[in-house]
Amino acid sequence: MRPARRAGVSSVVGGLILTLVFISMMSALLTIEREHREYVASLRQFQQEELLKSREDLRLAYRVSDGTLMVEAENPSPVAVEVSYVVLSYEGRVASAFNASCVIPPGLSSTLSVPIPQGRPSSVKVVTRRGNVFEAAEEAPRPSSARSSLDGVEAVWPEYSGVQECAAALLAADELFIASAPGHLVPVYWSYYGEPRLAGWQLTTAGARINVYDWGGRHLARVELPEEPTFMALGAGCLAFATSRYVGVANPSTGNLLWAKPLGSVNYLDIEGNTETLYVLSGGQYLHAFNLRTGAPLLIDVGGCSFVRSSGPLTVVVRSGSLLLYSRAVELNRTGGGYYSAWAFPERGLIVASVASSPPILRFFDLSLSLLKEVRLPTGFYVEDLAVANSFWAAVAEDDARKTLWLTTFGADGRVIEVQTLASSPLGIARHGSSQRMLRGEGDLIALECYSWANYWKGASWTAYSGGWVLKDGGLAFKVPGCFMARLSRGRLAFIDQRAQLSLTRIAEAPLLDCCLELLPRANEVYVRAGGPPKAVEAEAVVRYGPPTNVNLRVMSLPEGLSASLDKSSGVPPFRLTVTIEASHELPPREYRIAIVAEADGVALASLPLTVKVYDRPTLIVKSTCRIVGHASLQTYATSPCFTYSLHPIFDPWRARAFVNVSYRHPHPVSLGWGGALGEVTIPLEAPGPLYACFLHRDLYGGPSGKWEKRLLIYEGGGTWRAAWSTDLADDAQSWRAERVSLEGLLKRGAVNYVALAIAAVSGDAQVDGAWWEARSPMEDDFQLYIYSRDVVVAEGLAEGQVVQVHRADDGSLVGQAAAGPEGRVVIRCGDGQLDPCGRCFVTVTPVDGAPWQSAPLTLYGGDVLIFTG
Amino acid sequence: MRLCSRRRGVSEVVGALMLTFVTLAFMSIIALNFTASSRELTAGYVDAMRRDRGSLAESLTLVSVDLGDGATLWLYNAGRQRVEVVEVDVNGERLQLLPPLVLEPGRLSPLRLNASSPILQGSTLLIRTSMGSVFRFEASP
Repeated sequence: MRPARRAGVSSVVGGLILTLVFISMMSALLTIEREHREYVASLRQFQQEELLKSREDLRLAYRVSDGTLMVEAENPSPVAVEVSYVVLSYEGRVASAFNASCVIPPGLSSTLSVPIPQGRPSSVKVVTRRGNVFEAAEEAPRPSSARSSLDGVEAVWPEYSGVQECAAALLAADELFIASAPGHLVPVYWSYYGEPRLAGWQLTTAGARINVYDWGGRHLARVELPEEPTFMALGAGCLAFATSRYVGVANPSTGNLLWAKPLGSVNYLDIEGNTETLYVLSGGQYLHAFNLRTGAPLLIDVGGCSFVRSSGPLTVVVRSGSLLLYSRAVELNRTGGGYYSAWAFPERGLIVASVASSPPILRFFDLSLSLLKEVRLPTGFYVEDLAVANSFWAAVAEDDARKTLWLTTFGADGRVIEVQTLASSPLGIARHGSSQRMLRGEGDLIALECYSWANYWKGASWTAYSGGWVLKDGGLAFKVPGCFMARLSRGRLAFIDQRAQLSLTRIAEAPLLDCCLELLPRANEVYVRAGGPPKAVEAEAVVRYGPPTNVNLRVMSLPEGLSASLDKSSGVPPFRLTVTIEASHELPPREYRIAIVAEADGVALASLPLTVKVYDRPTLIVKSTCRIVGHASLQTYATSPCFTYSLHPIFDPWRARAFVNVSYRHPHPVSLGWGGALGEVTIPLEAPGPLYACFLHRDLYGGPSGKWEKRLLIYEGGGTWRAAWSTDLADDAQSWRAERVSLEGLLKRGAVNYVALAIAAVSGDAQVDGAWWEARSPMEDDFQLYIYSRDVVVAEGLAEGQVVQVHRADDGSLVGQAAAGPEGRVVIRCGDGQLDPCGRCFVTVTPVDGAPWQSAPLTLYGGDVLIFTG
Repeated sequence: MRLCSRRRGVSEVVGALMLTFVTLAFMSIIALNFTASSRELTAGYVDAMRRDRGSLAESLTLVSVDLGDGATLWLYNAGRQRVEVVEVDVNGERLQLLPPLVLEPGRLSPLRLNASSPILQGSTLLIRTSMGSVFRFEASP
């Protein structure tokens, strides 16, 4: 009995323990099962979101209009896309991010508009709620309603947006980018090949992406390159490119990458169009050649090469001082003799090569490299480019110091006709950057385009100068300041300048060469009210070169409901003309484009495109002449490495903000001179006087006076700077102090001005402790140097006798007033400090339709031009 | 004899009780040990799953990088919960963020880095969050 009882006890104990273990295991299993279920649910949700994220797609295009960025977003994906942010970058740095909060349903489009703090952004990105980032391409030039014919092909004229980008993208191309039509000479960015079919593309670049548009501005394809291209060339229907690591070819009409091969350090590439051969110079000396279509190597690593240029079926190469002639990557001929550069002109049966001797020599050969003649050049010239016309030829050369670019024209016999300076470094120092210039010769003309970059401290660079020249009979025919693109080919010549204005025309047809005309408008835009008073715009017809010819004037592309009349229908330039434009009640309010054309003997010599903006009620359009130099656009400029500037960032999640700190730079020894932040600003021609700049400054300098100075400097040209404002660093500006500096007479209107905020060492024994000062805007915690016309605004578009009054918006007090004269334009002087630089105001115009008219409250800046529609 | 036999009976009971007690104690210790280690294992497993769930809810997008010295990363939190960025690895250099950068869901924030070497295009950036998630990006403006 006893043992049985003991067995019962142990069974109970064992059972209890087992139960405990079971309960513990079950609870663990249940917990794990619950957590696992939640984990699986999370995983499913994650996968679902990733799936939706991967399905998101947006087609984006942006354009800049009146200080606003419009992003057209099309959602071709099957899922709704919620846009969270629009992010704008300038020069690779994010300047602002706007919370967009907009849902675009599948298959629909939406327009996002955001204000832009400064000019045209370099990159526009859209961030979706799911975390996708899409980059917007700049919108293609949109076709206007004006149509004409081009060699039998129906052509649509593009408007000009993003011309500089387009021009820059195509400068590397070797084919024609011009279309001519009666009434207009339209530079479109086309490469055409395979006559008579007109085929080609307009290209814009955005980082590693190239957008391809067709004739009407329709997006055709997007070429995704492995990296941002450093060189591009168009030819034989292909786009050849080089990046920092690859070289390859793409088909622009489909966007397909035909091939790409790893090849770094590319210095130059060129297409031998007739033979579909691509030549690449890499590493400063290695010449490669590839089949353009397949990428099959034809010639590998020919070392010692320093120069290569292709033209038609021929390519000239300078290798270890020898001149080699290639076609289809096969060496045809060679000759020795210390050559530096060479060009082939197969259509003239000529090879021209420069010899780097003292003095330099140019040698002319026939296509079998038999020497025809030899010409001696002025000493110290290095020939960079050369073109040949019927009766003369021209060479561009750079001097030893790389400060000046020279153009030399020669007669057919080789005698020097003229040597002239094309451009010299605008800031009077040697350039360290690259420059581009291209000479084209055809018939009796040679056209040249030239632009250059300069590098300064800290690797900063910008376009220092640009210009275009046309030469005839060995002399300058005319000059296009700020020319970005010049093309002379197939009997036509075209320029695009900085205003995106085009010039001239057919070369093969005599009248146009005899007289080159330009219509210069007072304004490119006219603002009218439907049913309102007529508006007049003045223009001037001037002769660029050649004898004046009687021209007839007419208006083109007038829509129904819009009338335009000219005060004269013909004349011998130069003369002034007035275009009067009136809109009927029925005309829908929007933008219209018309053109005034000057013709001689039925051939268009010049055209003046005008944009007419029609409103349905009296409207005041404000055009600001105030300009801002922001911190994002600054560069370091210094007479010595011991000066620099930096940005003192301020935390702001929405935009990059910073003060500018101009300082001594460790560890360089102090030397007399100055340096700091350099900005460039273009003051509009219509900016009224007096021009001022305003900013706040402070420092914590505690050293002796007479050692350092704070300065605001303006570049006067010829290497000279003038201090518009200076004060000793040992002033008492320990906290922010406002400065208003008069810049009237120092800044040039209608031109680029250079402004520098600098610290100057005025004593050799200056101590470096505390040698810095900071600057920011008087209105916000950011560096914005406002350049404005103090206490003055201009009103335009008025009828004689109409009175314009400017009132303060807060208390209605009168700030300034004036009555319009017969020209409909009046300058309104405001009370002292009322627009310094800006104020919240409203404007009244009396009478309008017999009663006073009042605008909504608006922020007016000093120098604003108020254009009234009537 | 009786006395002896009674003593013998007592020691048997005591022996049985002691044996029972020892067995009980031993088994209890083993059972408790087992349940404790089981609980610990379960807790560890559950924690790992919760961390993973938290990581799945975290999503960071690098919108843009202002390259060069003193680069700024523009990070967007596309996830469902707030993200605390505690560390950024730039070109192999670890940068601890003190305090961590807190990103609310659906917000874009700049993160300024003071790395000793400049951030160039193509540089690899590793971003570590307080939940242990690691996001890998390539720097591009």
